[in-house]
Amino acid sequence: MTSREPARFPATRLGVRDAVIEALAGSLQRPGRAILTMLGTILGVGAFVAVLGLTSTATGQISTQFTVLQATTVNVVDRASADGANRPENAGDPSAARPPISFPSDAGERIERLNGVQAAGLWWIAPLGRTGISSNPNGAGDGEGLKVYAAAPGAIAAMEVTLVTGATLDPFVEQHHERAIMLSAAAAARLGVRDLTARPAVFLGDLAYTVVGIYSDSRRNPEVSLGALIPASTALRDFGNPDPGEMPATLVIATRVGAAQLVARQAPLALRPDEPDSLVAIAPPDPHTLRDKVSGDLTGLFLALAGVSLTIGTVGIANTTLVSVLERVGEIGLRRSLGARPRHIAAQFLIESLLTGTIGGLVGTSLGVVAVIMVAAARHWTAVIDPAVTLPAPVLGSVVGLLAGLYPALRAANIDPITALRS
Amino acid sequence: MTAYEVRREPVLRLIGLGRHFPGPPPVQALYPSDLAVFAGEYLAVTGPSGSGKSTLLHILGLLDRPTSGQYLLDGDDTARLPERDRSSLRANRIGFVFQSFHLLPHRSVVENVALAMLYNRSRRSSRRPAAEAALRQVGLDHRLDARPTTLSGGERQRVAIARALVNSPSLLLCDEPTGNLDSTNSRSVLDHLGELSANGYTIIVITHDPSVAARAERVVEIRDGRLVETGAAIR
Repeated sequence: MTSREPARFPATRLGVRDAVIEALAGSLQRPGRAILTMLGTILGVGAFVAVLGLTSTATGQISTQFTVLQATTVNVVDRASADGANRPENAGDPSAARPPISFPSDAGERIERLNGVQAAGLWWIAPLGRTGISSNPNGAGDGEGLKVYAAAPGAIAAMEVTLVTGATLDPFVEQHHERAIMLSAAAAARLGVRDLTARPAVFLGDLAYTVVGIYSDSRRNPEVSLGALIPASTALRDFGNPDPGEMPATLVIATRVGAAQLVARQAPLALRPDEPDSLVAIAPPDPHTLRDKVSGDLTGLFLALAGVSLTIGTVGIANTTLVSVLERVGEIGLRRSLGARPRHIAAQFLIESLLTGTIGGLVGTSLGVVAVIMVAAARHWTAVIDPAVTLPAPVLGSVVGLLAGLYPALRAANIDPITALRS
Repeated sequence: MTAYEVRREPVLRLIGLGRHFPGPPPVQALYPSDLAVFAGEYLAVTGPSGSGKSTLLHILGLLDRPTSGQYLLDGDDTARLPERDRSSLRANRIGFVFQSFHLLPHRSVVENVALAMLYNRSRRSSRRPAAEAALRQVGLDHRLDARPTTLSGGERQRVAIARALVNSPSLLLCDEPTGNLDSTNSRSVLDHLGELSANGYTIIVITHDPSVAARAERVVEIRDGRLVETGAAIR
């Protein structure tokens, strides 16, 4: 009898659904171990989602603050003064000839006519020289270190100072060069000024200034919250031009939300139609740029930590899958005897680790989202969760599972069925 | 061709089949031998341990390849087939019964039996009914959803027999099927094998136990790697 030509045999196959069912049954053999195996992936993906979620949430808050304050602020300085400020030899030197203010005298009024401007005015640090502010005429320096700012009424409005008592420096005192002063609450405490009904005075050198009001802080220019404010016109008369080395005359403009960029473009022309290039308007940075920068700074380190967790997760799954392969050598032999080909064995173990990774990724994503929501709720923030980050996050777990399963699956596929059946 | 062969087509035919392991040390596990097993035969292969029984079983089960000669299964020369086709033959034409049962402990009895239909392109919907029918044949249709760990050794081996039967294979290969069983359970398992033989299944039992071999119609002994016919077929 001779052998006949071998017929084509229908190749054995393992359907996707069958493979998933077998892999699930394999994973669920030891549910406790499966959960522990997932832990690394859960932590890694959870950290990933939480870090990105918390960063975008926190950045959202930063952006809100930013929009309300900085995004509505435009500062205009004289280009020459600004350059002078950078020359250290001029800084604080009273003998240096101080250039006159290059802004027109009605600078604040001109700018306030622009669309989108809420308030505007000039201010600078009054160049007191060696004379400081004190509570008595002999100049005993009880107010040493306190800065006195010259500010036009429009600047004070733009600074958004919070008046505690008394009055602000109004256009009347400005126009009449009155020696009036507003003290910050901190300066008032230093100088022993509490009650304004007796019209107390403080001394700048030997010049008496009547305290007209006390303010607690300035929202837009927090630096003035620890000093004192005097009318710009009075400062020019009593102390001369601003010292560009200390601080050049600056026009602060409070704009409506969204108007800052436009106002910044228009301001130099409105102020100096003859020579707009002599002024520099400093607009706030684009909010989107700032947000990106903040998220970049914050996330780098934490994403690295999430990466470490994911690596540990990968090693964990790889290790458990390998142990599972070695424990189930008999099963591998049996499956081979039932017609499974090496690729079917590999697929089964690969899908097992893929499922472990994917479920870990799903759980991690859920926990990450919950963490973001809880932190946001506790801080009364609005949780910002980017679907572009959250939705693909479980895939990260799948990738981890797939990578982790490669070596064990290969080992399983290469197990000799005869040896396996003997085990 | 002899008149005998005209009457019945051999399911399995070994022509000068040998197996040599290159080592080290080199071992001739099976010397070139001939054997024909006909449809419905109940054959026992006996021999002391180390005689080459397992090597023969692995070659017959297409888990190993001979180094010389031919192995024809249903007329197909299996020795030269690629692994892909040998897997297909294992899935469709060979049923294995192992000494250690090889049941998956976390799967139910019926799932263990249906596992034999996982790779051979059987329709998913047909698997459970076929597994139930196979379990009915071995008298275990009342334990369909039990875990193997809750069964006695004899019952476990009967589940393994049902798994081997479920694809209606050309050949049932049993490797020491009673090796892990007490005498009562052994008898029960051998009774079932006898019934299957009576129903026309071709069975080869590899055993070192003379009492198991005695149940077969025909006995082949392996002595130092050589097949020696010791008992003629009754049928």
